[in-house]
Amino acid sequence: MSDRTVVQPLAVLIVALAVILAGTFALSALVGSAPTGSPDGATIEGQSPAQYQPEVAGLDADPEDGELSVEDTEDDSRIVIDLRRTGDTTRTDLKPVTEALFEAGHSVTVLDGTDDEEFGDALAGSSGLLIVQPTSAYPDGERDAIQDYVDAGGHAVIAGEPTQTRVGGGLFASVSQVSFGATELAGSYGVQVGAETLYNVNDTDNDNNFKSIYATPTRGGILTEGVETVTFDRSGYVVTSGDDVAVHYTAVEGTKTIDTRRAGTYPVVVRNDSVVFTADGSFLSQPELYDADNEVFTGNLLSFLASGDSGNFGG
Amino acid sequence: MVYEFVVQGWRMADSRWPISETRAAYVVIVTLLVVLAAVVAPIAWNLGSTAADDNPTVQVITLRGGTNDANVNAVATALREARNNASTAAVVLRVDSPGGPVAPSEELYLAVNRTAAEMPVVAYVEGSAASGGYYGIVPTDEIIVKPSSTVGSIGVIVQAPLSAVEQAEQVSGSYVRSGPDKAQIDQDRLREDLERLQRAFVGTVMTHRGNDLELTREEVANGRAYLGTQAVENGFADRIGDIGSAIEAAADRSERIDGDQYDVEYTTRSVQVTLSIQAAAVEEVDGNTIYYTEAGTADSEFVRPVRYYAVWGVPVETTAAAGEGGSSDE
Repeated sequence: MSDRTVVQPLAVLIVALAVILAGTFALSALVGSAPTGSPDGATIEGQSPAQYQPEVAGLDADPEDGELSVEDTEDDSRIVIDLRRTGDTTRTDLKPVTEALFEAGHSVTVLDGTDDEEFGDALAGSSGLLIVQPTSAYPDGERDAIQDYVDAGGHAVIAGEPTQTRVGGGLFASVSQVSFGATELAGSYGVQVGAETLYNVNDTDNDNNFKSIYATPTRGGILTEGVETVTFDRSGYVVTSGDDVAVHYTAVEGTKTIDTRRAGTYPVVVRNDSVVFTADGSFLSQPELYDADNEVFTGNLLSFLASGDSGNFGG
Repeated sequence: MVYEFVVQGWRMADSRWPISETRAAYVVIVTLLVVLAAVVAPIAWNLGSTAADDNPTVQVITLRGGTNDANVNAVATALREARNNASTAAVVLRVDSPGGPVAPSEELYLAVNRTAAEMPVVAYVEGSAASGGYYGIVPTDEIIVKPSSTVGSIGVIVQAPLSAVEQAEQVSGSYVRSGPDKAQIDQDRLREDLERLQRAFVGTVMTHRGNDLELTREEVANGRAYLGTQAVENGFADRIGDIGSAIEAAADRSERIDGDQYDVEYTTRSVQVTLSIQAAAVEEVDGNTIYYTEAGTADSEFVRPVRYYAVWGVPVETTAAAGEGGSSDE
């Protein structure tokens, strides 16, 4: 028997076997495979979901336009700005405010604890007093002076702030509470600052953050003229007593207190004759000054201050 | 004719080899072929059908740790493999994650969403699936929790260096910049961007769970975290169960699985467990914004201005730094 006798049939065997096995494998794969769903690379619904589209996730930020203007008076007025007990507002932060007063022909005396003249002397002859976010109490003498001042016809605006937590930095992280300090001063005009910060999570009822609430006017007058909506960045609310206090702005419907989650109608700007009290002071400086109608409201407040007349106070 | 051909062939063959030998060889070969094919063909058949579709499989994919780039990448790859594996009929996503940066959290959502479009996906919340973790499981067909599981915490945090926000103008004065917004961080812009991410996140939750949720969009946006039992009540989760329940639920939901005729396979990868907001010292927390001092950036001229997180938790360094301070005094 020659080699060919064995080799040829053996080759036939191997080829035939290979063909049979490959055929079986292919047939089984065809019969067994019926993958459901579409393969990767096919178009899959929902990979550019509706909730991701700009028209849904996008938002309209309040335009930062408008002009801060103060009414000029016949006799140029002088405004006293008291920053001596203020937490973090500086003379520089209030530059837009002082510029607007300057443009209207009024002058400004800023008390910030450096080379200040005596409080009563500073008030004498001025038309208005602006107190920004005091964190400590006014002594008896100064409270009396403010009382005499408004009795004589001077106007005062007290910008408060709610009690809030600040986390201090550095290696030794510390948590501290900042709160409104001039409680007795405000109390003597029938006003108290509320215990909690306000918030509103409704997207259309806040200025892009739940703590930046909207407030709207509740009556006409010098304080609300030309204003549709103001936004307060860290607002508390005002508690009033007596009939002398009139509410000029309330937080919009749906606004709640942050700790107890109580919804209600919260006054944020009130006026007791010659004294105006606001539950926030952040609107006086950037980046809040030109949000919503804040610049109009600030202009109104400054005009109100300029329109005072302390007459013979200190004289 | 045929006869002549055969006879001629016979003769030709006869002239060279003995007829009986050649024929015998072919007989042996054919016999061998039949025997071998009978033995080997079933094996080939099995191999072929296993590769294609043997017992359908429920694939259990696990995410333990933050929804950071590395972890989400691993899970997304596992999900892709599951989609491409013809034998995988359903997926169970086993999750214990408090969330992480927003970008990979969205990535996870899209990967799970894509998988859920092709086959049943059931989520089992092992520990927590909060914030970014919940973002990932929200498109699943069913969410199964334990009483101690934590879900929810829908919301976004933005983190920015305090110095960069407060002193942006002064600092930028030392560079020549091509435009007024270049290299600037503005608090208003931060808030707007935060709000955009928040809307996408809350919108995603409402899209997928809106029909199940007893809560309003506002209540969801409050960002509260819920334990398992409460989550079943308010619709953040569907029912109480364990991993076994989740596997059964996934199998039940698959049209390709008949009764208990399925296999379970586990994809386990070592994942990065730590989750931290990388701030050395928290300077100030204001609403959802955390201002911090960047650590170890003395050598670097520039730092990443903002980071967006979807996390359930507080910055670890607040407590860690305080702890370190305390121990160094001892």
